[in-house]
Amino acid sequence: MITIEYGLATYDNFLKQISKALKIKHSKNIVNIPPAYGNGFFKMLTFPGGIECMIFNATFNTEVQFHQKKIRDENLIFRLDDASKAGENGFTPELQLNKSNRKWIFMGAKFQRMSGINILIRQDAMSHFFGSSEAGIQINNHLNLLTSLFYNEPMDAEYKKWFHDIFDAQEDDFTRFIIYNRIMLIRERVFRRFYKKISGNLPAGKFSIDDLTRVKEAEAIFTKDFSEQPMPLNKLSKLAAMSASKFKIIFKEIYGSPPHKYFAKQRMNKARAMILSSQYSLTEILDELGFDKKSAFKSAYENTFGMFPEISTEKSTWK
Amino acid sequence: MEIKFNDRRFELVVEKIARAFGSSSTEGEWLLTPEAGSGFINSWQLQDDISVMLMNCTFNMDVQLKRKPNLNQQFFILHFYELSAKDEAQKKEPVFYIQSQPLLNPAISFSNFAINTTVRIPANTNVHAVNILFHQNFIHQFLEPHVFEKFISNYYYRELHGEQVEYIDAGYRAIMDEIIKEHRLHPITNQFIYSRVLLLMEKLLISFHEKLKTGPLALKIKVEEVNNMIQAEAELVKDFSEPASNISSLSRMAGMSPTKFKIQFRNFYGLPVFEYYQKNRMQHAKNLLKQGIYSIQEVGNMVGYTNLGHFAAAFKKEFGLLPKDWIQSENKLKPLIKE
Repeated sequence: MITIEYGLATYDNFLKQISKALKIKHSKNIVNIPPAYGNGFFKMLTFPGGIECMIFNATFNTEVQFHQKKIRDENLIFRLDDASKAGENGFTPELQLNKSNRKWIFMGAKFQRMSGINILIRQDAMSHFFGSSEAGIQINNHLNLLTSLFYNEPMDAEYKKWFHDIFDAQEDDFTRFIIYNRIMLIRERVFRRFYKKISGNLPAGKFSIDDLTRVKEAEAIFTKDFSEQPMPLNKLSKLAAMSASKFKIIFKEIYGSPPHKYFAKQRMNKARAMILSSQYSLTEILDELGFDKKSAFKSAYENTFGMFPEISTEKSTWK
Repeated sequence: MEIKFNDRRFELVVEKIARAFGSSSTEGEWLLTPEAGSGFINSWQLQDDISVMLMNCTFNMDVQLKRKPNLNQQFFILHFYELSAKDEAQKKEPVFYIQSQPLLNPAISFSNFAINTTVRIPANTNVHAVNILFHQNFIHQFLEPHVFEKFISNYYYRELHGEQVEYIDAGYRAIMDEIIKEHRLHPITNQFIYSRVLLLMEKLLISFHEKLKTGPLALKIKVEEVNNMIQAEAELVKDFSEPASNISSLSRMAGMSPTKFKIQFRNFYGLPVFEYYQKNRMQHAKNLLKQGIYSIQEVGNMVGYTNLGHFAAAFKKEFGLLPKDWIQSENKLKPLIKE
């Protein structure tokens, strides 16, 4: 298995780390996967104003783990799935919005084709984008508030069209301009829709930034320790100094599910991260996450991710 | 009324126009006073020092906007003008002069600061316009200087020899409409205009580049044939609430036989006449729906359908979704955060 660890200050660092893992010389802007490891490429384009685009279409003949480490910079990452793979094994292509100060793990199976487009926009370029408009400030506040931002949308016809304009672009005199323009359109549309979501008749638009901040602080305490039973709702809402019903509404709005369902999901996310890091034994994982029995853990894991990881049995620490 | 200017920011041009009418602009925008006419002219200073002026207005008197030449050749200006001419006589009047060469309505012009241009807007005529000003450094970020050089020299050569080089078609019109009509609805207006303005530039660059290889320029069509064709197209798409003009009256307007007209139309606009009409009509319907202020029934009527079922079917044929499903997909958003 190949493991690639990187922080996303820039995609150049990502390419450097892949080159290292594949034992090839690091060349600027492109990695061609050597036949010994598979085939395909990762290609990077840089644009004015702190904008980078990575186009990739790669198949590895071994399992590969991409491990995005947290970094301090809050760069925005747009990940666009390859829409032409819709329907393969029930795959639904999405556009995801993510931040570089967040951990992110992706596991690729043997011979799995990975293709898509990632766009990185530096924090300062985003401030420029939001400017001084009222809506811009509101969106920016939201983004700053949600440290674990993870927003997604289905790849609809419009996104798909722009995806293909970028992904299938032939190299000619105008390619750079075309790709830059598509990135501008994607960014503009994502935030237009994002804004619609946070304003309008939704709770997030009705509640103050203070309320949202307190819920966020309560969430941090709530998910700090998974070895204990989750805190009951009335205690949680007290932490955030609001009624239980108001807390529930805001919580669901920010995190997408009610508190206890969210807790369970986060617990399993942590389980996956621990397994993937291959630094913990099963006993340690069960302890850390407050499970008494392996069978209970296994079924909880399967409920969340569908399949208990095969990789885990290969590890020496995993008995 | 004649207004002269040679400013690098459209903000100043808007102010000059307002002053000429004894009024004044606010934050780059002027809402025409009842004495001057109706509608608005506004300007936007965008990132990368791109300046934009949008117009959707009707003057009560004839107005000429004259840009005086200036030695700085590093600034470029793109004009997109579409007037809704009232009668036959007005349709034959040029809307735009580049040096002394006339361009007919609707017109696209590309010029730099050294070239003087004049826009003539007759009284009581609605004008739709997008004006874009940029420095060559902006384009050099994306295009090799020699590529842009080639574009400029070829474009100017044709333009200054009286050719209507690029002309407004369904694609340009859709983007223009979006910018002019929707920018206020958008939460981050600057960015909305910016991304669309770049699309207009891209379309112009690529479309002209293609024409250098093939298309009407290579076909050696006479200048007046191009002009006639542009007029016929404008007539075809001017009002969707009325039945479409037939081929025989359009071909008469274009001064050619119906057969030749059909062939030439396809060369120019890429589609057969009726398909092109229908595409524009549906695009117009979609823009109306997007504004969110008309019902599906109203939009159907506005684009000339009395039978709502027929409208829905035509819409689906063009965009793959029924109008109600399209509206829903525009509004449907997934939860904000998913862990």
